[in-house]
Amino acid sequence: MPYTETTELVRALRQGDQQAFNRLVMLYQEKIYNLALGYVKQEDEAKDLAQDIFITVFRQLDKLRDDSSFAAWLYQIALNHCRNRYKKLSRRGFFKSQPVDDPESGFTLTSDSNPEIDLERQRTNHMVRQAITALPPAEKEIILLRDIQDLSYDEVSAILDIPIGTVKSKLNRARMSLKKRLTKLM
Amino acid sequence: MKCHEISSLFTDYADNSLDAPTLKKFKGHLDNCAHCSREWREFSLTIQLVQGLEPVRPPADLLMGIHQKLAKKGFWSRFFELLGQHNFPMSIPAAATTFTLAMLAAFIVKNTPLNKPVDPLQPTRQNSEQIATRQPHTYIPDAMFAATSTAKHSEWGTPSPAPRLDLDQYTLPMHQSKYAAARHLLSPDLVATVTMPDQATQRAFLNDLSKRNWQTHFMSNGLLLIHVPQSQLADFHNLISQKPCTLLPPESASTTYGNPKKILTVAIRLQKK
Repeated sequence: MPYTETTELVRALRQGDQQAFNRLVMLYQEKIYNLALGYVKQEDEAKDLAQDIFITVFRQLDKLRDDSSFAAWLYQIALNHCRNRYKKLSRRGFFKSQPVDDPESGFTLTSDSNPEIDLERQRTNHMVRQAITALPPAEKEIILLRDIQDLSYDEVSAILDIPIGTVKSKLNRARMSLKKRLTKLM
Repeated sequence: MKCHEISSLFTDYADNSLDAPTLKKFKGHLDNCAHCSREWREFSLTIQLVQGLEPVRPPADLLMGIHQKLAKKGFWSRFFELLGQHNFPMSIPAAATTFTLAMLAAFIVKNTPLNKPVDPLQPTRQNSEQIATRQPHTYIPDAMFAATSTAKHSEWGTPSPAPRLDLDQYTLPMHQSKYAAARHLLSPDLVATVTMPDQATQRAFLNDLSKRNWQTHFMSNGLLLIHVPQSQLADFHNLISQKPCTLLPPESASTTYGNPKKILTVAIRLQKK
């Protein structure tokens, strides 16, 4: 996490610097978008969700007490949005209507690698993503934060507001659950 | 160390955070247990696969979409912004109070009868003792003459066979219509011109009239409009026959005049001798 840069950008944004907000979005958009994608699977929905997350950040910045804890605060907002959107879409049957083999996440060949290896890797990635998406929300959340977002135990603990020991035990259970799903798929 | 204990330590082992004695027991179990050894390999592979996932690049227009959404304002935010832009000379509660008072005043003015016609039966200092009892009559400030002609509405433009009262001679309708055909509404079924020798006779006549349960409208000092049930037309004849009078049309002297109408509108013109 670019700690000092983020803190300075947050301070600048508090003083009304719109460019600081743009810079913050550019810094975190990939992580937030991937987090959203882990929840809602569909790219347009993930984009809309990520945009809503950043809009909430912009509007509620005055509620952030410590500028240095911006990242944790951002992830808390993001998780709340993701959970709410996931519930809303589940109620509408959004995930049931999504095809198992989503054409939007179709495989693409890159010219700088062996086509067979590349295709196999993409197929594996696709299955792993599907297995993560199929996890229960609590397990999915911790996998996304620790293994996908590469956050430290301290950060995950701060975001989820649970002790580090609990983070580790939950992560272990979530990984075991994912392993079972992947074993079935592979 | 047992198998179910081993799996709970996989994450700590992957993180190299097991203490030395536990690590020794853990490795020792894995070396001797094929099941746990396979479980660990799968667990380790799972971590590698998950952590090896390449992040998906966000769409290029994500930031632009944020600004577009921020530019869109909700109804209430636009409403309050509009309020803030206008420098009203009075506060909103004061404006609401003024509006309420204005509406209340308009209601009172609308429902207050103005230019009340002179009521000949209204007791004065002189005659209040003479007219001891009289039936209360209905006063309707906005009432027009009732339409009692046998002519159908579609025939309003055509002359009616019923006698017409030259209203301009006696009174003006309270609401003059701009439509000429509407004057047809003012046509009574019969007109009785009753000659009154003096004020006392007139009062006695009006007193007798008020004893009948007929709806009476006092149009002016010398003109009344009453609604007489056709079945009581004989009683009306009896009332006016005691005075010199003329009836128009002449056939209205018959007690069967006006059939099959149930209510007849009668104009009584009180004429001084």
